[in-house]
Amino acid sequence: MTAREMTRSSRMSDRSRALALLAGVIALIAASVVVALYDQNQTVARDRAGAEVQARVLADTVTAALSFGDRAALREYVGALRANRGLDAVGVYDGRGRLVAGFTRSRLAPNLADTLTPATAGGRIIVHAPVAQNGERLGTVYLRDRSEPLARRLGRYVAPGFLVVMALLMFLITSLDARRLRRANRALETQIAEREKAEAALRQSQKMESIGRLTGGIAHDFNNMLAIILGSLDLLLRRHADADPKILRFAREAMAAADRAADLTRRLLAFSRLQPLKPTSADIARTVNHISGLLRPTLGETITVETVVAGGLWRAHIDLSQLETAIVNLAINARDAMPRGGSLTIETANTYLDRAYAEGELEITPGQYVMVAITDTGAGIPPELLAQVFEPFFTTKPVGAGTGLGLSQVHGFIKQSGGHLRLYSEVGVGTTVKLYLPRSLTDAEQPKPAVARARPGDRRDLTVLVVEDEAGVREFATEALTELGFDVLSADGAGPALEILDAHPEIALMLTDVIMPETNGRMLAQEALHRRPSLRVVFMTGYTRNAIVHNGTLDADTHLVTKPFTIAELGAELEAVLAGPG
Amino acid sequence: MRVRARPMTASRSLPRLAVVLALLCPPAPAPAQTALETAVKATFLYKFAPFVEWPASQSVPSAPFAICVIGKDPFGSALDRAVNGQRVGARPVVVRRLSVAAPDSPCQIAYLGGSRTQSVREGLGLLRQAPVLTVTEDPSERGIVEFTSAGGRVRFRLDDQAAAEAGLTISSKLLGLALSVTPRKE
Repeated sequence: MTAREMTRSSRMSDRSRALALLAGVIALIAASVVVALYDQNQTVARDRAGAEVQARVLADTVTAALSFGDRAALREYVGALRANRGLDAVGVYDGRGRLVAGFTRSRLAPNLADTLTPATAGGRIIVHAPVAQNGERLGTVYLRDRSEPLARRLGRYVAPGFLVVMALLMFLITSLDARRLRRANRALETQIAEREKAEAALRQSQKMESIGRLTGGIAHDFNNMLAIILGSLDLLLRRHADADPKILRFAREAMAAADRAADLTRRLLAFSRLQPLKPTSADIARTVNHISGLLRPTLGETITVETVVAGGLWRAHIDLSQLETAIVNLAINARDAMPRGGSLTIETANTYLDRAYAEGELEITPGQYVMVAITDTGAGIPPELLAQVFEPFFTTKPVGAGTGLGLSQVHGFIKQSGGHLRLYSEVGVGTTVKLYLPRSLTDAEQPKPAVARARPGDRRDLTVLVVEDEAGVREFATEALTELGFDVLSADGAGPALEILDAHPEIALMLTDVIMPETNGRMLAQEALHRRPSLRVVFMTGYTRNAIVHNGTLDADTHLVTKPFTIAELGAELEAVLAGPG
Repeated sequence: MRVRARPMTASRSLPRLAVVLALLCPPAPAPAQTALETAVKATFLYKFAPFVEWPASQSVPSAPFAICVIGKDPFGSALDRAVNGQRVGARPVVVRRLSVAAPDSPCQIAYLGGSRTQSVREGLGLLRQAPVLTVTEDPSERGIVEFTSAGGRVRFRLDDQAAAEAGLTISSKLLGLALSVTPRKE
């Protein structure tokens, strides 16, 4: 039984309870009214019977006096009745209907005329009794009761009235109670629902995180291996350019495959949010226009690409190259969802995610975001798969057609960038992915320093220290630097590296791995810079969990080459460092 | 039933009925009765009837109800006028004037006026066991009913014991109205 069903049944029992209560109250009121009416009738009947008895007694008493015309006696008899405060009027009439004796308390004189139909009038009881002796009618006694005093009448209604009031009060209290209970129940349900939602989101995020750690670990090892493979092949091709063309072709194919492998590990790292990002204050409008221009020929003629860029779009604090990759990944997914063509729309807008929105989701900070929405008119994603699509290696494409890493790259990258993404999909209608990129308040992109690219093979009067615990990578780096014309020294750890630094003041630059046993690259760099403030440091890493990356972004003034790298990439980065300030 | 014993006051006697009108007349000596008093007494004679129960033998429905005036007759035509058209139950009321009383006199009510041939005492003696309501006016020779005058009004005393001897039952209502009652012996 779900919470909602329970709620419904409890609400129904609430309603039936309220109905039963209402029926009880109505029954009680009806009973009170019946009792009151019965009591009223009883009282009237009793009063009437009493009045009749009194009239008969008076009639008997006055018989002889009336017969013998003894007025004084009549007045005495009638006068005795004055003691009865309940009597309103008394009259004794002779055989001819003439009033012989009587009194009245009200202005209404006793009147034999209303004797003809003895009735209660205005709450008064009027009774008559014949005065007769041995069948001989001698006259009539008229007797009128006072109307029942208000206090006495009210007194009779006190008990049923009290019952009714208590019943109503009870009903009121119970229904108020029930309403309060219902309200509390509803609040509780809402809370439970919110908590369930939050728990589901937390579970999902924990799952993603553990998958991320796993893939990140694998990617790290793979990157080291790929660095060696790629580096060795690179060296082979450079140093033995005159070798047997067949050998060179095999080497190039091996290198191409290794490149693809490196690309895969990069996506894995992106998903696990462990790739080093270089966020800048990026112009999203320009990027979107640029990418849509690239996409049009790529997606083919059957798919139209529309771009809707809002005016005055903010800048976003984001790594542009990764954003481009993300949009391309989403566009590829859109294309695959529209085999018979359709339209792809990229929209941008400034949005504000408020507290209410942020509360429903994990990992969202309320604030200003630049929204990029990519909408296709494709097959859509069934609701039951929506939660899974961001998981790595999840794909709806046929085996071999997709890696299952596209959306996971997008997800990991956006989350790592402090953004947020939302997926809306309806089967048969299409899918919209909304990316929320954190707004940048910095105005412009930092201009990249112009780099004078050195030609490889030039000798140069510079000594570089390579620090790398993994022998294969160290050897490749050493060879690569030699190839680039540097003098190279190498160390397999922080301790030897510092010794070499002290012994060789000519070292101008240190290229160090980040993750090493005992002392990591960051700490080594700090110590080295302490000893040699003029030293330039370049980190190389394939996987950065700590040390130089904080919250997924590089510290300022930190230079990094990402493993695996080619000799040319390494050369370019070193040139940039040497040309820069410091 | 209450036994009356009340003083009469002039202020409570309003001059509406004939009985009360008597008050306005100058008091007259007892033997010389006024015409009004006589008329009232004549009326009283038949008015006693409903309040008295005669033995069953006397209650023959077809026979007239007889009021007898024995001896001296003070009423004259006043009595005839008073009983004219009156009935006791279904029985018409008749007036019989007798010179002497006898135990079998056909009377239900008998007014004993007395005469030379038969004094009131003798008449009462003869009627003692008879089912006849005897009425007298002589304080020394009392019948079952004795007319008297009190406060200028015609009143009566009742001898319930004598009624019992005669086999009559007097209604308590009438006993209540009497000036005085000689109670029955237990």
